[in-house]
Amino acid sequence: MYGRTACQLVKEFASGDKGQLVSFNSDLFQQVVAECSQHHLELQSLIRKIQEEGLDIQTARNADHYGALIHHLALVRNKRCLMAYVFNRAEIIRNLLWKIGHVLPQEIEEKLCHTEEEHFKKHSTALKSYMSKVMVDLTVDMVPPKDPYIKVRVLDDIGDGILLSDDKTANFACHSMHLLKRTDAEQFISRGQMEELTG
Amino acid sequence: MATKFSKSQNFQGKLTLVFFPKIKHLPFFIFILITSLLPSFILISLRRSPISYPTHSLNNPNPHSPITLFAVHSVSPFRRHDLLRHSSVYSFDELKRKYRSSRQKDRMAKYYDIDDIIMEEETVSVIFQKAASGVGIDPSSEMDFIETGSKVELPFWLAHELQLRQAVSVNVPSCFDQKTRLEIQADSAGVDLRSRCPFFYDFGCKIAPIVGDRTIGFLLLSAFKSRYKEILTKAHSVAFAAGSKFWTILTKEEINLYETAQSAMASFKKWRMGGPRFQIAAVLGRKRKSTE
Repeated sequence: MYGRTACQLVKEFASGDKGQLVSFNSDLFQQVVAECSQHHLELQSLIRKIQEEGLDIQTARNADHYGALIHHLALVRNKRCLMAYVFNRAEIIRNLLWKIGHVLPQEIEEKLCHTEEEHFKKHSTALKSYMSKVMVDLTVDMVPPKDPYIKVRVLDDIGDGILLSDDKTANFACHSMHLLKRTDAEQFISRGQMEELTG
Repeated sequence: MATKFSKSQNFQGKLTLVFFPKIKHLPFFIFILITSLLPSFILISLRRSPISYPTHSLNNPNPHSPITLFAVHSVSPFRRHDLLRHSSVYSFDELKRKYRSSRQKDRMAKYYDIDDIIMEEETVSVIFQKAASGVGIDPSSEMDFIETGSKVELPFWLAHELQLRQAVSVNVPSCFDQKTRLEIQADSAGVDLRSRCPFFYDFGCKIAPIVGDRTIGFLLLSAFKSRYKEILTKAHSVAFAAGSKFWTILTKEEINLYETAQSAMASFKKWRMGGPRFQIAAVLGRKRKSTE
């Protein structure tokens, strides 16, 4: 059936949890594009057939017209599926920037295709340049903290010599505990490399 | 500093005591108020549709919702006529144009909507009124030619567009047949709608004007009303974890409602536990989940 492959692509996207990415299915994507070109060829041949019979394309309502119409509709449908697939993925990728920060972890980066990586990078530079212009870091937590410092435990070996905002360097060895500025700690917490100690 | 703080608290306490027993109950009241009024809000807002788009909209495809259909039907024949004749602000053609453009906008708004795309893949059986050549959509015929009068299963997106051009006539899909109707009348909350059609309501709204069956609107409304009540109570009860069987019979729209109700409850509870200390932990949880 026409449009089935395209719908499969969309369904595969929908099968993941909300806000989660599945890897870009370039195989299925190419199949749909190939199907589109096939429709285009058949559409053209039907139109040519109508013209050869000496009928006006605008007004002819014969079997060829309806055949061409079905091909046209299938083309439009396939286009919609492809567009929706790319659009919704791009939206998730832009959201990742706000949630995780400017550097994507390895396991997510694997799921993106080349153009999506490009999109992410460009979006990231645009956001950075905007934030430097207005001189506000927009990616930090929206709720004002009670205390600017929080206690954190390092979960992952991040390494030493990481520059903090007060021009000090810290050595974040695994399982060490620190009292950090909340804005400094936030990016590490969001990536799951630290956890906040409460109470 | 300390005295100032307690003073303002006292003041707040007195103020709220008049309306609520405790300030911390305030959002709970609002929450109850909104959830109890929600169905009536929907009804009120949709009941207005026949006035802005009179009944000829029924001849045009898709008045969007079961409730709109219900509202249009609930206007008496005389009043319907009245509305049509005395729509003094707009002429008939103008109204028609307005309605069409609003439909167009609505359709474009859902252009990227994943659920809408999947819903339009539902198959319906159609009968071709015109012949079509050069297409391989009829599996029963060996030639790539469809003759007039042949019965073919088509996805909704194709059937809908062809129906607009009078190339096919659409039959009522099996999920709205007599058997389902009787089951819904008997015990609507227990009917497995998901296996019949995962987008029962949306699909019903789209198919109703096309097949010209005006009873579908009533069916959807009555099914939704009784099932909505069930979902809302189950979503707030403690037993929802055990209700795994309950999950499997809900349509996609109902699952969305169910999840919304649950997340509302969860955020309310989080708010009551309070404190920005919890804020970061929750953010961490969400972010972690997305990195997995």
